[in-house]
Amino acid sequence: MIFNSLPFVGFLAVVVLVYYLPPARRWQVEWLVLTSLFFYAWEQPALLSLLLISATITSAASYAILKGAEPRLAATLGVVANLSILAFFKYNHLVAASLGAQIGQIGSLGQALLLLPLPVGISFYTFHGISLVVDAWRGKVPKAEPFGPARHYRNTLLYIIFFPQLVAGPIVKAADFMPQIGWKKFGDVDWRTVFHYTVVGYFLKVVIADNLAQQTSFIACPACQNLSSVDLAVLLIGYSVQIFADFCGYSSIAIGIAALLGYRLPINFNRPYLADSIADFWRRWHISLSSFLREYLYIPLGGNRRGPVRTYANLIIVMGLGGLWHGAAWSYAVWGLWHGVGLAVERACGGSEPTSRSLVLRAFRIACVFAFVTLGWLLFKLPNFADALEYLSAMVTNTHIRPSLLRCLVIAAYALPVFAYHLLPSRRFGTVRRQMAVEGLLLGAIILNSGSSNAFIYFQF
Amino acid sequence: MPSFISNFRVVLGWAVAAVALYAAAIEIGRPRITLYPDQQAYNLARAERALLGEGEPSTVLVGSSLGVRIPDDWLPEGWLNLSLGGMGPTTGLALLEAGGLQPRRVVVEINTVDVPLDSALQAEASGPIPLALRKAVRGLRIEYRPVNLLLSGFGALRPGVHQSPGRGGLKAACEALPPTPDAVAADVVAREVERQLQAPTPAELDRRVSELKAAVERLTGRGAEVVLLEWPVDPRLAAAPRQVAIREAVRNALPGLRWVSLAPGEFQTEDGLHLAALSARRAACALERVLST
Repeated sequence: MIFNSLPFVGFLAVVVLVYYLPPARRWQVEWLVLTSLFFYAWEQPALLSLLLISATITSAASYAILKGAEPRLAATLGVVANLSILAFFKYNHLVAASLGAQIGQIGSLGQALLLLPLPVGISFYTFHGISLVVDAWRGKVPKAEPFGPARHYRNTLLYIIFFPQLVAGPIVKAADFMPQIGWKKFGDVDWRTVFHYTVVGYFLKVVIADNLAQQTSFIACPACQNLSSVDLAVLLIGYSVQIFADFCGYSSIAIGIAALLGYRLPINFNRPYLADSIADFWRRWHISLSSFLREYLYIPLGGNRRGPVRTYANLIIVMGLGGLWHGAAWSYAVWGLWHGVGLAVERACGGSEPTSRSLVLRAFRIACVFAFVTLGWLLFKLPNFADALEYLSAMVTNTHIRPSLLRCLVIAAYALPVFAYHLLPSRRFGTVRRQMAVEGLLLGAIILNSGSSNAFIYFQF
Repeated sequence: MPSFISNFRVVLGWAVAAVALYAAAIEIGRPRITLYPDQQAYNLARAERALLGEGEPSTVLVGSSLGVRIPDDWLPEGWLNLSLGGMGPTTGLALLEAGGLQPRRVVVEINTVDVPLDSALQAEASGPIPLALRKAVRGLRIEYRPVNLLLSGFGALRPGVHQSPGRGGLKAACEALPPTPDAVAADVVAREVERQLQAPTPAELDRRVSELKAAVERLTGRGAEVVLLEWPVDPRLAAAPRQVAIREAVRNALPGLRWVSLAPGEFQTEDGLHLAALSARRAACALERVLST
């Protein structure tokens, strides 16, 4: 069930209605668990069992840690189990295909691996599992009162499968979410957050991303040979805008819906295309993933405390693995390495923390970072290396073909609101009333100019 | 902190005001939409036009992107072009039925008979704003989406992007068309022709032709004349297994119907299949000439 579908609207209405009914108040958490399971089962009922296995292992491990029974062993088992589930179910295709490529044919085991479908949201719920186990081990997760296995299991289930963030995040740290679990009152709902994030999120998704998706479907080879250099560059910029609008849109809707149910989710984007360094970009893009990787991988690897060479290596390793987390294909690993190497080079050149106050220099740096990031997105769109190279080559050589002004105009029309969103954050709209007026206009645009419904790009991860 | 009521009232109030203002402007201005951002937007607008069932078109053209190349104003008054990009004629025929349109004549493109019916288009064009509401309020129609308006305005500012027949009427414009061939990139045509040289699987083709036959029988049962049309394509593609198989299957299934083929030598394509701009106008004129005799 995707947020931009009619069944979801009906589902949400029923969830909220029952959730805030006074007689049902004491069962709010159970109701959310139940409806989240239904939400997940809507798409992949067969794989619900895997989600429950992951949540059960996580719950058992974190319960043992919190109870003080063999905490080190429990933490190790909890992390290893979640990583194993992720590795087995997400990377089976990659392993089977890679082995097949080496030995010339895929055996029966490889074929069996290839038949397993990719469970939706596996990258997110296993990371939640790891976060709960590690945060419990670090003493950051308080015990639910009264502390018992049933209540802990219920809370763990809600943390892992809470439907607004189940399939594509944001990745919430257990230490931030678990203390929020409890009874919620309708009167306490922060309606400003609900309206702002939901309207902006739907606008970004259905007006910007879904319409741009029609244009960026032209990012394909060998058809790219027939497009001009300008078209190819503009399409790539369009994809850069689309992927931002799609993912930021999803995260915003998730934050808005969670707020409607009385829960706070962390913001996932902070105007990333205004970043003036690659390091700055990763502080603004998919913030919940970058902070997860920093806290649970980069720092445990030694971070920047063990000399420059080790720091560069850590950056490249973390980004390479972060790339692979996105998708089970070598192109994602290369995309991660592209950023990892970029971060290392930038750090070596002292460019991570710009000191100049010149506006022109800053604008130049922002443009360079945008170009760097946008080039990287090509591997998201064209996971086949040969296609990506052909696209880049056509971008350089097809200067003789006349560009399509129409295409440029369409992409500019949809990119403009996204760049305005970057340059004019909501607090600059002035009063709350003016903010609401802008949201009203965005809602009007949703009614008048929604594109064809597409699944969210990050669902595949 | 603003309550639910004040949030709801203000946000919704602004949204309603914006939509109402836009709808009023469309109603007053009645702009002509000539450009769409992409194929899907074009298809949806055409499907919506059929589903709204407005007007009483005398002739309806159903088919694929081959027919999309024909500009609306190069077709005679009262014709509706229901050719849809990336789809086959059965999708247009299904829309025709769903919208309750009863034209006197239906021209069915046969080049793409092997393309299956796409029912998703009809479902998407039917919602989420109810068709009855869209029938009453033009501004809410897919056709009048702000981006379509923006592009059509841009097209109107740039003469040459779209050449209308002019004030002398269609007949005069057809006679005034220059006999010069379109300028097409030969290497692109050759590459695309190479790509298209595939034959449909016989079972699949039989299924598609049966679907077409059933739709045609329903149309003729309601008294409509059905004409089969073969758009001119690159001669190499016209002689390729796909077109040969389609031609034969359709001839066998629908033997008694009028068949129109426009002589391929007179027209140029941009990629082996799709007519170039000048050739498309010339084809529209030729089609009108043939059907009026």
